[in-house]
Order: sequence, then C-alpha cells, then structure tokens
Amino acid sequence: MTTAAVQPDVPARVRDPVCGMPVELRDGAKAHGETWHGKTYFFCSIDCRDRFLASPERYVPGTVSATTGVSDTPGARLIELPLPATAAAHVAHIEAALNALAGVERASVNLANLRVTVVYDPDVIDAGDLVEKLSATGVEAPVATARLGIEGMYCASCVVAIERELENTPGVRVATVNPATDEATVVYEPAKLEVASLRAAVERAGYALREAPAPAEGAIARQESEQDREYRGLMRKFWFAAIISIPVVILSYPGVFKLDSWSFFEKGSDSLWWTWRALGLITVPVLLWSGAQFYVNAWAALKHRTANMHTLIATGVSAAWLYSTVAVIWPGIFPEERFAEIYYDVSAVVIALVTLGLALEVKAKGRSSEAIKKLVGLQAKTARVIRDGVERDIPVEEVIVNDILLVRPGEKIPVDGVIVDGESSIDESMVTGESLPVDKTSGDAVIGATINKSGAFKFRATKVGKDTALANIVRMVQDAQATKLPIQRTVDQVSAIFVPAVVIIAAGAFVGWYNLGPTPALAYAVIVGVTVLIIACPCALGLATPTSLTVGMGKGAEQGILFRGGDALQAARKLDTIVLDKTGTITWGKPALTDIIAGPGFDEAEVLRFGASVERSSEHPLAQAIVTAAQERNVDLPEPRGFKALTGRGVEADLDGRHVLFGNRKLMADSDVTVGELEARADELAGQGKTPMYLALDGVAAGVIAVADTIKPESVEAIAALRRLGIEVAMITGDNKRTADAIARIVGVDRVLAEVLPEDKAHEVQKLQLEGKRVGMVGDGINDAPALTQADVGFAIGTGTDVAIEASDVTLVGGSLNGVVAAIAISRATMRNVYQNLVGAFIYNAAGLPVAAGLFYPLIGLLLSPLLAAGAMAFSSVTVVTNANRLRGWKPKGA
Amino acid sequence: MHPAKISLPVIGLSLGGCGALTLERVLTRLDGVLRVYVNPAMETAYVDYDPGRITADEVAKTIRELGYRTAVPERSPL
Repeated sequence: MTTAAVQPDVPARVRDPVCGMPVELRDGAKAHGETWHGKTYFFCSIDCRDRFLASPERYVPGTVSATTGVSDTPGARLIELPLPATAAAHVAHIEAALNALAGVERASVNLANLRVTVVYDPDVIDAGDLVEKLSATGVEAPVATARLGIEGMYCASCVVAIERELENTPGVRVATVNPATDEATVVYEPAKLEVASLRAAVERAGYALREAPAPAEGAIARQESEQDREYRGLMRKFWFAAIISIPVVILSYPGVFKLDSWSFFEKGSDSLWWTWRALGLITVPVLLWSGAQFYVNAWAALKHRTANMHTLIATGVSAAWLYSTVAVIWPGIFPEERFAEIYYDVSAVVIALVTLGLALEVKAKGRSSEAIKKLVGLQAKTARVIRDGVERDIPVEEVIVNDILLVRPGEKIPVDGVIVDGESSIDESMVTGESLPVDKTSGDAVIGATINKSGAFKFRATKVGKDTALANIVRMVQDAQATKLPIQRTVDQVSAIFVPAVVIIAAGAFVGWYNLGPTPALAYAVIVGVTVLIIACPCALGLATPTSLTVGMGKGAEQGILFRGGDALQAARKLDTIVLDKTGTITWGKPALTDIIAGPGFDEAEVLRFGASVERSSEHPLAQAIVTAAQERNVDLPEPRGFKALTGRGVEADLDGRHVLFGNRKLMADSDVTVGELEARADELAGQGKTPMYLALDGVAAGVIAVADTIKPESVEAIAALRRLGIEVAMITGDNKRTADAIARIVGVDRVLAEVLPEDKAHEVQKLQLEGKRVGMVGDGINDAPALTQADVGFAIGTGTDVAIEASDVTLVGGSLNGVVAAIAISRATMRNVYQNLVGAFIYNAAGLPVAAGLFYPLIGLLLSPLLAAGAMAFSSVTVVTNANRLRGWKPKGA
Repeated sequence: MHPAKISLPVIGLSLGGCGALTLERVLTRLDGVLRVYVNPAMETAYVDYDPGRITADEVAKTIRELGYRTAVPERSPL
C-alpha cells in the first residue's frame, strides 16, 4: 500500500495504508485524509482512519526504519506471530531464518511476550508463508493458518471490517485480507477455534465465505449430465426421422418394393402424385425438427462467414427437398416428365443417419474422457476430524492444515498428511498406479483420495484443498488436454482448406454432370452434388487426434503417469536413449544399512548394538541409516557416555564400561587399532559402492558396518524392459567411476556417465543429443532440472505428493522407473492409435470424394448413393472415437 | 499485459472435428483472443485472451451465437 504523501505531483489514486483498498483522490471530498509525522495519508473510510489513528506506527512501518537506517518501504506490513515457550533458546535461529526470506524487511523476536514481529511486503510473501517458514525452522508455532476466499469484496467499503471481525473471534491471532485476491489469511490456534466460527465472523462483517475451490467436480458432473441429455435428445430425433423415413423410402421407390403392379402407384397416375405430395409434407418435420441443429449451426456459421459440416448437410438435404418439391408442384418445368423424380427419401434418411451418428459419437466421446473424470471423482467427501478431543465428521472442504484426522479401515484418506499415530496398509493405486498396497506407520506421508485397507490411524493434515496431490494431478491432466499433438497442427491446416475445396468440387461435379451426364442430367447433378458435400466432411479427421490423446493421457493418469502436454506424449515414442540419474532414480536416494561383518570373537548383533548406540545422537545420514536399521530389528540402544564426534573420522564414546570407537580406516589407524582381515572385507564392500565403517571395542577391531544408497527393487527389471524396447540406457552420477561401475553392473545399464557435477548434467544430455540421439532424462526434478529441460523428454520421478514438477514433461507419481517404461509404451500405443485414426479418416475422405463426384461412373458405372454417403460419414466419426476408446483396454506388456 | 486463460465447456459440439475447427476459427478472429484450442474429445474450448480487450463472457457469447451451449466457470476450475 503506497502511503500517499501530499506533494506537488499527488497521484490520482493511492492506497489506504490500513486496508490496502485503492482510494480515488480526484473526488477529494470522499477521501479521508490525515496527517501524521508530516505526511498525509488517505483512507477509504472513517473506520480505517480511526484504526490508523489508534496506532499509526503499525501501518507506517517505514517510520520506524529511521533507527535501523532502512529506507522507507512502501507496501510493507507488520505482523506479530506467537512463539512457544521453547523459542527462547532459538532466538537467533528464528530471526535469521525469517530475515533470509524474500519479502521480509525485518524480523525480531520479543521474548517478553513470546512474539516475533515481522515487517514484510505482502506482495512478495503472505502471512501464511511466514507461519509455514516459522514452523520449518523447527520452532513449531502453536498456530495454523487458513486461507479463506471471500465473496462480495468488490464493494468500495473497507476490508478492515472483515479483519476486525476475524480478529475478534476467539482463537484467531492475526487476520489479514488481501483485496487483490479476495482472500483472508487467518493465523489461529487450532485448539481454540472451529472453521465455522470464522465463517460466522465473515458473515457478521457483511460478506460471505466463498466455498473452498474444490476440484472442478461440479463442472464436470454438469457436463456429463449435459452430454447425457444431448444423447437422449439426439436419439429421439433419430427415431422420429427413422420412422418417417420408412414410408418415404418405400413410397419413393414403388418399383423396388414391387408396388408398381398396383395401379395406385402406377407411374404418372394422379394417386402417385398425391402420394408424393404427402411425402413432401411429412418430410418437413424431419427437416425442421430432427434436422434443426444443422440449420441452426449452418446459419450461425454463415453469420460468422464460415462453413462447416452443418452447412454441408443443411445444403444437401434442402437441395434434395426443394428439387423434389419443384418436381411435384411444377412437373411442367422439366423438359420431359420422367425427369421429375423425387428425392424426399434422401432428405429423411440422411438426417436420420447423421443424427444417429451424432448420438453414438456423443456417447463414445463420454467414454473417452472417463479416466479423467474418474480422477476428479476420487476426492473424498467427508473427513473425521478430532478437535478439542471430540471426533466429528465434517465436509472435506473444511479440513484445515494441521487438523488431526482419523481414518478407519476401508475409508478414503481425505487429504494429504503425515501419520501421527497408528499404522496401516494403504492402497495408493488410484494415484500412483502402484497396484500393491503400501505399509505405512507413524511419520509416513499419506496421500488424499487413497484407500486405507487394514488399520485405523490418525494423521495430521499437511495439504488441503487445491494444494493436495490429487488436486495437482487433476489440474495437470486437465491442463494437458488444452495442448495439441504437433501432428494435429498439420491436420488442422489440411482441414481448414478442406471445406471450401469441397464446395468447389461439389459445384464442379454438379456442372460436369449437368452438362455431360446421362439423362436426367439435372437429377444426377443434384444427387452427385449432395453426395460430394456429405462425404467430404473432415469431422473424423478432426476427431482422430484429440480423442486418442484424451484416452491415452487418461490411461497414463490411471497408472500414475502424467504428461504435461501433447508434445511430450508424441516425443516419448521416438526416444532411443534414456539417461537415468542414479541418486533417487535408480536408488532410493538415501543410505541404508547393507552389511554387518563381525570380527573374530564378536557377533553381528553386538556389532550393530554398539555401532548404533554410539551414533544415536548423530545427525549424519549415514549414522541415521544405522540407527534406523537397529530400531527395525528391535535392538535396544542404551545412552552412551562421553560421546565425542571426531570430525572426518567418526565418533567415540563409552558404553557398558567399554570404550567404543566407530568410524573410518583413518580413525582405526590413528588409534592404533589393528583391523587385520577386516580390511580386505571392507575394501571389497567399498568396491561395491558401499561405505564401510569400522567398530573397535577397547582398542580391538570388532567388526565392520557398511551403509549404501540401495537400489530400488524395480530398477533392474525396468532397465531391462527399456532395453527390450530397443532403448539405450545410460546412468549419470556424481559418484566416482569405481562406485558407478559397481552399480551399473548390478542394474545392467549400457553406458555410465560418472563423476559428472550436477551443473554438467544438462551438458552431458546435450552431448548425447549431438550424437543424433533423442534423449529422455529421468531425475527427481530438483537437482537435475536443467538436464530435464535440455532432454527431448524430461521425466520427473515423483515423491508422492509433489507432482507439479515444473521442469518435467512427464511426472511419474509412483516414483518407480517402471513408470518410464509404461510412459513410453503408452506413447507408442497412443501414437499408433492416432495414425490408425488419421489414415482411416483420410482414406475415407480422400477415397470417398472421387467416388461421390462420380469419377468412376464412366469407367465402371459406380456411383455412390447420398444415403450411403450419409451413413458412411456419420459412422466414420463413430469409428474414430471407438478406435480411440480401444486404448482404454490397453495394458502394458507383462503387467 | 498478462494473458488470461479460460476453459469453457462447449455442449453440443457434435460432428466433432468440423464443429471444433469452425469454432476455433471464429474465436481466433475475435479481437483480444490470443490462442484458441477447441478439443472435441473433451468438448472444451481453451482460450488465452487479453483481459484488457475482451472478457470471458464475450468469448462465451460468441460460442453461444454459433449454436453451442456454454457457461463461464465462476472460478477457473481448480
């Protein structure tokens, strides 16, 4: 909020320093001005002015800067956040962490009232982020934040009213309203507050709470019911046209149906003329009701100076009807009576067939996008929350971050979070594509919309609403539908010249048949013209690509493979080299205990117990791996005495009356411990890429514990599968050549790129591309983002809840390398389907056209009936959509 | 100028390919519309536009004029 000083060049519009609302100064009478410390500030209302006068320094943080030397900072805002009593020990840490944030001007802790005062720029960072960062410093503030969407904030009154009502609600610490986003950020104590009371506060202020921006389920459900309605409507129109068509067809060709022996239908008889007039009349409702959409659309298109399929159909059936009607009413204008043929059957049957085709197409298209719609439907509806020790079911939209939620067996997990109590096995297949349930316990992350199979557990919500993994997945999949396959752009260019070209061909065919054709020339000319118009619709061509793409991407989403767009899906098919980042992709990316070797006279359990106990308080990842392994094996870990970390060598401590040394070879050498034959074993482990650590008890080598970043069980199989697809697999790593080769041998890659610095990974990818290869890069999307961007297709291995990885073209939610194999297989299957569709549609259009124009008539007497053309046209679209839907049943090989 | 994005459902986009293509051509000609893709499989029009020159409601109006049903979502979905 710009504080407006009255100077010669007073801006026409300033911001209220209290609420941030814009204030128009042109109608000076309305702006409430107030001078403080030689500056004039303007307010949107008296309310704001009073609030300003009560404590001006709160709203003009620039003024306090005189003491710190920080210059006047327009737009800064002040917030006080409560701290827990334990914060006293971390003052410097808290201040440093907050001051390091972009947008924070100044953060200072006041221990007297246990608050941290932060002056920040609300345009760069908001109060919610501050609280999050504060929690991240390890100092858990006993508060949570909620973001509330507020409706009706367009009125020129003041947002302060909302802030005041919110802050007066028990349990709320701070409330700030951002008029730019229509959002209120509320910092509150979860123990003392219910979301319902926030709603009440907003309503007291005269506004309404916008419902949480939940997934677009409503919109999709609406669209689905619309589709259903459209289908039923089209089917009614089809049945009507079909029923009328039956007598029309029979009576139009009395000869064919052996009725001409009956004198009533004798050629040239009055009764036949009357019959024909009747046919003309009953065809009218078919045209005007069953065929209404063709006329409506053709007219709308005409108004916008374009022509489309509807134009073609409408023109065709109208021409047939008008010709027949002229023939019936004024047969005299035809040079010979036998020219006066009727084609009411053409009008009725064409409309019936095309309408049926449309209905089937609508139905089939609904299935194409089913996988995507299903994703949205995965969202849980309710959650069982525990607030103030009371269990309650609430709508999932009301769950807020840090709520404790209870999930029973068989229930859906409502939002993303971390288990705090209990354990269970969870079916995550709907999000990650991984079919086996995953065992989880306290401290593990759970994903919203997955299903709890066995045990009951409590978890703390970490992400809600539009921040959840599911919401991100849905958004990504929906966004991907907004992109075209590169090949589709070519198709569109062809289609764009198709319709005008066809109209010209139809006109040419008409003229040709009228002048050169057999008698009755006019009749033939009309039929041929209509047929050309009908057969030429490029609808199937236009549907071919997007339908396959939608089904293919839906199929991917079902398996936890998210394509960012059509480009990635088309490019993945052609990859011939895949570069795998070792850490986190082939391996878990964190060390785990792999080997325990006991020295002479010691046993493995003893070695692990002493090793893990002395490492208990170490925060080193290698130490953590050993402690975790010991805990998993239920080894009791007593507290050692005299613990000392020996930088670069290891640790020493006393336990059970013995002196323990635990560390590398150097530590043993420095302490004159003879390692003997253990050294050979340790070297062997090091050769396998592991990190061996020696344990010595009272100066005697007791054993070796090896720790390594372990290979994910599915990596070997996935790499083999990639090679079976004819793809060269390379591994890229910063490890030294020896370690890298050891891992490469186990997983079976073709090529090793070792000792590559993180910043050089993109360069290595580029070098492969210069060799003429199409390179796919697989990584975690954080350290290797430039390499992912450089690659033709970047695959990011997901970490459960983080799916919207910017640098990647494809995100593998499941985090397994099998996803790369499946992504390439899906790309190949989808593109094959696209080509089938395109070739089919193109052959239909290209081959149908000369037949319809009658080019083969002089040669072999082949002429396409407009009825057949209409049928074929309608069903070509249906065929394309049905072929695309075949992909729904696609399964990866060997799965 | 920040381009705005909107996805509009298009109901009645039958005869898929043609209708989508025509709609796309007409919308592209509107002043202020930067990019249009009408996906016939999703029955959705994806429009990037300059909010200073055209509104989402005006885009929706043109879609309706062409004989389709549509509605501007209250908030962009999700």
